Amino acid sequence: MPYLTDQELVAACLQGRESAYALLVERYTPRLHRIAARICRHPQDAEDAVQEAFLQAVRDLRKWKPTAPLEAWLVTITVRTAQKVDQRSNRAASRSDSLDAPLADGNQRELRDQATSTDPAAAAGGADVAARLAAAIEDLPSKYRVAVTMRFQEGLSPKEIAEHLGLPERTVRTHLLRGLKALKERVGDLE
Amino acid sequence: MTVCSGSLEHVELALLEGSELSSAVQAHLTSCSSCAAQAETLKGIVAALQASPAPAAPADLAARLVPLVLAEAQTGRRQNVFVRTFRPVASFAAAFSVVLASLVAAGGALVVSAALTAGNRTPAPETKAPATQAPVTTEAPATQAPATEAPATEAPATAAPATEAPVSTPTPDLPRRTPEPVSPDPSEGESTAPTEGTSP
Repeated sequence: MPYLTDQELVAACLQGRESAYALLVERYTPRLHRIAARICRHPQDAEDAVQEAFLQAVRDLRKWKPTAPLEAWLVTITVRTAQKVDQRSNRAASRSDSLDAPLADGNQRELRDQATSTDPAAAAGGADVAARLAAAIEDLPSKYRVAVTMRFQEGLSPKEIAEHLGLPERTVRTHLLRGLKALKERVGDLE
Repeated sequence: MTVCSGSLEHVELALLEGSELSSAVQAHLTSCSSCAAQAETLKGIVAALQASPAPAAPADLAARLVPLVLAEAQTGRRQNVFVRTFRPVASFAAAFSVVLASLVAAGGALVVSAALTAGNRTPAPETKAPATQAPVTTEAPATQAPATEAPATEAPATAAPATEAPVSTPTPDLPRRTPEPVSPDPSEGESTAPTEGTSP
């Protein structure tokens, strides 16, 4: 299939062309998964969030307006879906915490190990820094964690984050500043 | 202290915006070791965040998602076809039911009013009529009030109780009862009529 613009891709999807849907998924899965993985604290939650986001996007494809990039529209859906999935999973985990605390602790440690095991800095001897940072990010309140990761790991501006989250830009800036302060208190000196 | 806290806020804002520190803040950081240390910590955190590797999607994730997305798209198309097919039918049925209901209501009102007028006239000669006519005169405004679709014909009907009420008065038992219901009738009829007259 030749390269299709966003508008052509959506039009082909709405015409029912299966290859267009496949192209939509293949084109945007890496980006959407990266976003979801930044927000969700469990790898399986990130995959679930991407899946739910794509299904939601397909259902609402007629609502997309060509005035906005398709990727930004999909990112907005993914960010909001990932937040819901993560909160849902966190609630379930907290319930299981009360029933089986040692197992939950083990899962948390495993997640942090996964986060640091793929870090080149960790292999170079910065494992402690990476682990402390990963743990501190994980412990942030959800709204601060989303703002901080979107800003400093995904490189989105506060205005873009505000648009994706449906929040005032001032609120996002507050979340960013409080998230940074919280990280500073929890991580301390990274040198 | 306020100078220090203000400087750190500037550092945080500069990191947030990705902008350079002002010369005044930089000058403060060179002279205040505490603020300089905290600023370095913040910069280190941001640098570590930016350097953290992007989580890679599983290689087969897209392949697993495509069938699910196609199934969802097909479900959506079927629903759209259903909606496109049955929405006009449903809207026509709704409109038809509204018309039908209004016709039934109007017909019922006419029948009731006709029955009332007939009922008021026929039992008049009877001696026992006053006992049945008394409730009729009280009910008449309530039933005749909705029947305003034919004002020219209904006007006599609304006047009928007033005119017929004296017909029922010749009986010796009801001189006290009939004048009392008759007098509020016109007032009740006037209170409801404008609301219905304005509604259409």
